[in-house]
Amino acid sequence: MSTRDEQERVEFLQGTLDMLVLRTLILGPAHGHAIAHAIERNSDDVLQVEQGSLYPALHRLIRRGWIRAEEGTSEHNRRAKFYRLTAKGRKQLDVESTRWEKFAGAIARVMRPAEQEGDL
Amino acid sequence: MKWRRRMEEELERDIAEHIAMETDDNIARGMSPQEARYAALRKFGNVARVKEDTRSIWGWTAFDTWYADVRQAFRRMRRSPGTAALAVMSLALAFAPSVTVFSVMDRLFLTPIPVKAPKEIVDISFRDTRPNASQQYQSVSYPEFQDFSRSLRSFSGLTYQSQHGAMVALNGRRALVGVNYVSDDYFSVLGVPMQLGPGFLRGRPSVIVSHSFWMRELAGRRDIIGQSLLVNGQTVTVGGVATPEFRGANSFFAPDLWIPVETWGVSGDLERRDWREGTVWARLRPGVSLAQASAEVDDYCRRLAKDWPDSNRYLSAFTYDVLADRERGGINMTGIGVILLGILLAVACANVAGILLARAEERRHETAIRQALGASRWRLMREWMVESAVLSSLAAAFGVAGARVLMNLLPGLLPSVLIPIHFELSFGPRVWLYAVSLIFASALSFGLVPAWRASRPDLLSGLRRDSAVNILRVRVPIRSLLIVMQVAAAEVLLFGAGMVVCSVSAARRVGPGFDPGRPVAMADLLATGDDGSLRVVDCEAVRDRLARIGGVRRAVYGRSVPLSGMNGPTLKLETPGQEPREILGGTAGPAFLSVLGVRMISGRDLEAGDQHAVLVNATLARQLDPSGAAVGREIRLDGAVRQIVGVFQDAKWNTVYDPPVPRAIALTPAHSGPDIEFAVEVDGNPGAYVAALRSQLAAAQPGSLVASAETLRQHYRNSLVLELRATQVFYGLGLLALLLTVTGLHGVASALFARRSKEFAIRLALGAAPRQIMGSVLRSGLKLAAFGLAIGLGIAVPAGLFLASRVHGIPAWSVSAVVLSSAIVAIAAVAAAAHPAGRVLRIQPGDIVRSE
Repeated sequence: MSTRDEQERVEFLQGTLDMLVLRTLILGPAHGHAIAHAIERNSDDVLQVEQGSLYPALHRLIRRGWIRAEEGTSEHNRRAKFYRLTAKGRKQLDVESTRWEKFAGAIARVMRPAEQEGDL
Repeated sequence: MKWRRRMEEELERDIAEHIAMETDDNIARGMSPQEARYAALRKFGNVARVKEDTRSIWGWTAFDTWYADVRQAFRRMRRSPGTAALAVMSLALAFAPSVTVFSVMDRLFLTPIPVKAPKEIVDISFRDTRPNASQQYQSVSYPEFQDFSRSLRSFSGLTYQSQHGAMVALNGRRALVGVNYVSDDYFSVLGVPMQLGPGFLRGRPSVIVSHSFWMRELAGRRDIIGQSLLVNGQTVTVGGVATPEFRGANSFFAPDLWIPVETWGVSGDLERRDWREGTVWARLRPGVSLAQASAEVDDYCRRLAKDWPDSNRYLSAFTYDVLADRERGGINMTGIGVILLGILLAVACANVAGILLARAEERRHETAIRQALGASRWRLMREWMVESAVLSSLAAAFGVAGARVLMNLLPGLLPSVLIPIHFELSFGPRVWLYAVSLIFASALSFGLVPAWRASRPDLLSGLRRDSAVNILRVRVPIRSLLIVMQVAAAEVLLFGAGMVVCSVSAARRVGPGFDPGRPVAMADLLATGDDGSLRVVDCEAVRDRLARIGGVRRAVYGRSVPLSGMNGPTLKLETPGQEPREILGGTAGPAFLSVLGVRMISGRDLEAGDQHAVLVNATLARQLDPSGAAVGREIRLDGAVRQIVGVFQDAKWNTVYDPPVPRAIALTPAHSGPDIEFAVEVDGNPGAYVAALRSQLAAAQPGSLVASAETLRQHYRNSLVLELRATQVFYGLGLLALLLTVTGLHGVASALFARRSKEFAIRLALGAAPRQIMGSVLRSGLKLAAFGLAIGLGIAVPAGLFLASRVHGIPAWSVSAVVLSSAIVAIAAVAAAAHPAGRVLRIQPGDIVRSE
């Protein structure tokens, strides 16, 4: 694929997609499509997931033992793989959210004075 | 792998489900089904990429792609088995001799002689200061060694060793073995440990046996220490078994027995000051440098020259660090072989590189597509590298097998000598290392170029089926360069073969100095008793017995056989009014020389009872009496007065390359031994008498050894066996290189033709004569060949000059070798280029142009 596509896909900060997936799954098991939609919907469509990139992320989380995949049936009566948060994943989500809040707060603190300077 | 496939399937299904759900959603939003599906796909992104990313999270993609590359390499080879076989076989053919020659080098020179502190060991020998000396370097006699030991202060110990053959009697069987007569403290001075036993025993004759002899003849018995062996009829006690690593001090002559010269008894020739058969190795005292030691030895030799003017007047000392020198000399010697075979291997590699490049050319389109789809350069290069690694591994497997065969064959190709040489080659760690590094080096060398070229981003022209763009910008013609190299290498090797042939035929033209065509059969009798003791033979009785064989005209005996590989003894010649000087000697029975085809120039051959007569060769006769009237003169040889009865032609005694040196031959006593040469002159084919000669000799002297029974012509041919082998080897290598070059050239010409066939078709359609186009294809092939030829000659002729300056008997170059080798290469080049050029005639311009 061309390099342009690649840039578009790196809209997510490293690791944030993982966190969002974990956050989404705290509400209960979901299949890939539902997860992608939940992220878009819950961010008021601000975060546009390139849906394909969800799958490497899901498999990475499985590998780390944070989520588990199981067979199930979707709302439209299709066979689909459902992903469920594990206990380990729940703990990880706590860690990640704390870290994120710190991070976001720090960014916000840095950005605000800059705005004030700009006013001068 | 099954589990792997399930994961793959599940991922696929998952993705399909996802897209289906998204499509459903889109339809629900009011899109048409087709529109809905496209939108879903767009939203999902690149499916292949997602799969690839996911797989890489599963891990083992690395292993997976390597595995796939290897499988792909095999699949590609299966698709064109002919090319693959050609590549593998040409590499294997070059691998096998390279590894074999290296193993020879390893065995002879790189394996260190396991002595303690080898840097302290120096060799002491003599240098003859006379400019026309027959031998520039001289060994040391035993009395001189004793003088050295007593007087020299620079050394903590000195050793003496000389090489001989001896007869060993073992359980009623006799065997001729190589013996080193050594000084008593030989092993302790050199610091060589025993594998078994205490070493030389004090006060009684003892022997140390080599590991090889111990395993071969004594069945590796550990209770052999203290038991006795019969050596030349004397009882000696086994005092030790040497370690397998210690094969004596000489690379070429690995002795089976070491016998202390003092307890064995110093007698006969050993007491003579001018019987210089010994090698003296000494160990430097700590703190003494080589230069200091040399100075002391120089001083001492000047004193020897004063004290013993007869034997030492012209001798100065020559002291050098022998073990370092051995390595240097040996590497020089075998280095030539290693380099030549390296050239051959380079030719083979160039060939394989050519084949791979041609394939890269064919796959340009495919490569360009893959690059367009995002394949990285490394990914593409790796495929090529894996392919060349597979090729060279296969070749290495064949090559190593071939090397093993060659290594078993090689000792059998050595000229047969009386004392069997136990020369075993083996795959030591160094040889393995060499083989493995050759494999790597060749895989890299022929893999890297095509890999680099093939993976070069070249989308624009690569993606077009039409290759017209390529013609417009033919860049560095790597394949052409390879071909030039190959032609050059083939020329070098063929030229080398030509030179060896020239030197052999020159040696043949000069001739042995006797007529090898006479109907004569000959054999060497080594007379021993049942206990292995050496015996004296009643030569007249044996001769009479041989003369009674039906068809035998004359039977003769003698000790000095022309072309025996030995110079014979030296004699002191005293003539009135001249300084005494050394000449070569020897003995022959009545009519011995005449029967062996050595012509008498004047006078007569020796007869029975000629005790005081002597024959001289033409060179000596001229020196004694330039007017040509040497016959009848008296000369003093080693103190005895002899009358010259005949002058014989300058026959060669050592090798055919012998320069004419003065020689005198006296009568072999009727009772002498232990080794006597018997020859019979017969009616008809002498080959038919060899067996009879052997059996009659064995019957005449029961228990004796009959060696080298052969015809006179065989004897002559055997003396040239090394040259013959060298010729065969060079021819083999040259032809191999030529074969590789022809296939390479053919490939280049074919590729050129394929690439330009469209252009040719258009030109033909426009009215060009086929002959013109054929000419241009042929010309481009021949231009490369001509370049290669010029480079090859540019390397070969100076190399020949260099070699000729260093090795005796090699002519620098000859016109016929230049012309012949160039002609062969040129003809091969024309033949290789002509076949593709001929295809021009089969071009149907209409078909090709229409297909556009």
